[in-house]
Amino acid sequence: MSAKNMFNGTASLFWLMIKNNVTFRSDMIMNLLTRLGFPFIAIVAWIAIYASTSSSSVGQFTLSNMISYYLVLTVVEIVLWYTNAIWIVQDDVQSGFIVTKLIRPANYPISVFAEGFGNLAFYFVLIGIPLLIAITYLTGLSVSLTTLLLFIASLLIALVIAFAFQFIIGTLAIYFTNIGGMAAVYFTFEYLIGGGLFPLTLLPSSIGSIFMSSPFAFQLYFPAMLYSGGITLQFAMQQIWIGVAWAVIITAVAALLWKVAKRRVDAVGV
Amino acid sequence: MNNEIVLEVKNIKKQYKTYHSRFGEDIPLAALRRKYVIKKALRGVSFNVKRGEIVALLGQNGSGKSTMIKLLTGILHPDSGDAKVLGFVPWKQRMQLAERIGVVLGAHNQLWWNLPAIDTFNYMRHLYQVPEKEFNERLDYFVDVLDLKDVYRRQVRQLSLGERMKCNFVASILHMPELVFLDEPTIGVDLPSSFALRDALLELRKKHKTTFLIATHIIDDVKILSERAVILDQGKVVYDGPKSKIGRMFGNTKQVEIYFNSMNGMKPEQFGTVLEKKHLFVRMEIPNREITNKAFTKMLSSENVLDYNIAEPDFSYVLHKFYAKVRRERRGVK
Repeated sequence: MSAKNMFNGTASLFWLMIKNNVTFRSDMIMNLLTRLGFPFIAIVAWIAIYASTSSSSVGQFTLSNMISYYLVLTVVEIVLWYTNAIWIVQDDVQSGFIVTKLIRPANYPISVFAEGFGNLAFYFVLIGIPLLIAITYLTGLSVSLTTLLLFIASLLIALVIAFAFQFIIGTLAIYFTNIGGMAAVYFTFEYLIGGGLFPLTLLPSSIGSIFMSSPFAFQLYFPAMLYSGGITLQFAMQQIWIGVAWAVIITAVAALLWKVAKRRVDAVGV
Repeated sequence: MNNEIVLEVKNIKKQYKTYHSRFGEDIPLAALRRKYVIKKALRGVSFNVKRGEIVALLGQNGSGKSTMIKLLTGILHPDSGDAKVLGFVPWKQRMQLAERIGVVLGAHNQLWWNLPAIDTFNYMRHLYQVPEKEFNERLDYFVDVLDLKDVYRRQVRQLSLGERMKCNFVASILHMPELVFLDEPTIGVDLPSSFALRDALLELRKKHKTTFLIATHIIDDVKILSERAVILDQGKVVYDGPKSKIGRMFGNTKQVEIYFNSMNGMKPEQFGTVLEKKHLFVRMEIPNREITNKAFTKMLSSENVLDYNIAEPDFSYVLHKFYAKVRRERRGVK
């Protein structure tokens, strides 16, 4: 199959997913509210924590830094939340829809990526970009062009890592059929080790440095800290290569697993 | 039709590992206990298909038809054996093969549920690189032939099963594949549409020498479309040849339907086997030699016979007899 065919097919699938999302207006509004609801809860909790301490900062974070971190985190989470690869693959396997995808001249992992990317691009444009602009102006963050470019690169790394991880877990549905339990474990790790619950610098340095080098940190903590000004550009430029390495390693594992697992697609009786 | 072989299957074997759990028993935890079993879906299947042929892949439920189609389209990998489809090994060159084949899976919807079918058609156009002009011409043709004018711009979820089937068919064939695999293509399709669908298949074959392999239980599909049948039973080919020859395996017989005025003194059963008897109607299977029997012709011309019809045995009946024979042989009963 030519690269042009593959690109056209993938681009068409991407637009199809955006159209699919527009179909459900009420779901769109609920998503908007839910996405904005999460940081609101975290911010209220941190306001209470800061109010109960005599110090104006927790770790290196002032309340203002903390609010910025959680707001940027909300934008980054859109990338992870709407990638959806776990559920796309599980649904395909359980319903047998994988059969109809495999009869097309399309690479299955890339098709799943295009579907997920269509989803997240829609919500990123709808929620992410306006929210990012609002955060930048309301919190007075000074974002240079270099920071913005590094942030975009970090989001792409987060996207690749998240997709590859999710595709790995989704592909396990070929062996186990229902992978809801594994998905729950993965999301918990992603959220805790990735810095979704609290910034990783609040942890003791021995544990914190391990967590910060993990692939989960490059999904949440690193992009959020980068944009909210929690790390220097010099440090970010050093770290981003670790993120690239993780993205390559996890993508390779996902590709290898798919190569083995596709032989196990049985679709008996469907 | 030329003799170019477009599909070649050699000794394909495939087995699945599946399990029996104890669902349905009183103690829910019993479902945790599993007993693994090996299901041999294909046990050394071999056959060929030539360009332009329409071959019916027949067999009872679980005989291996769908597994065979999934193997030949590259979805499944066999345990052993070889296959070449349009020169490609399906499970090794799935994507290259997929560009040149079409697959209609009756049990599977391949349209986006929440969008109109036209969106899936457009996706297929991009995926298969169909030029826009050709795409529009083909779409107009299928929309007209399959009566889809008021259908293909509605959300798929709002369509009936038959409407969805027709749209699935269009989505699978818009790129004009050389070889089409159809698994229960007319399931749920109404009578006029199933005829239209079959007409469309025959026209494709006539115009483009398209080859078709059809797995179906719908006898009309077999009767109207195919000349050749490959019959599978428990993962083995038990028949491969002209459809017409299957009937001859059971002796040369005719099916006779007789409508009587009165049954007084009429003993049709003496000439053959009664298949159906309802009040003054009898349907029978009679050996060819009995058709010219004087006593039989005398009965037909008697005043007690209102009307009669002599025809080749119905294919569904022939197939039913064939399956029964296969089952008997499997049990070792003559």
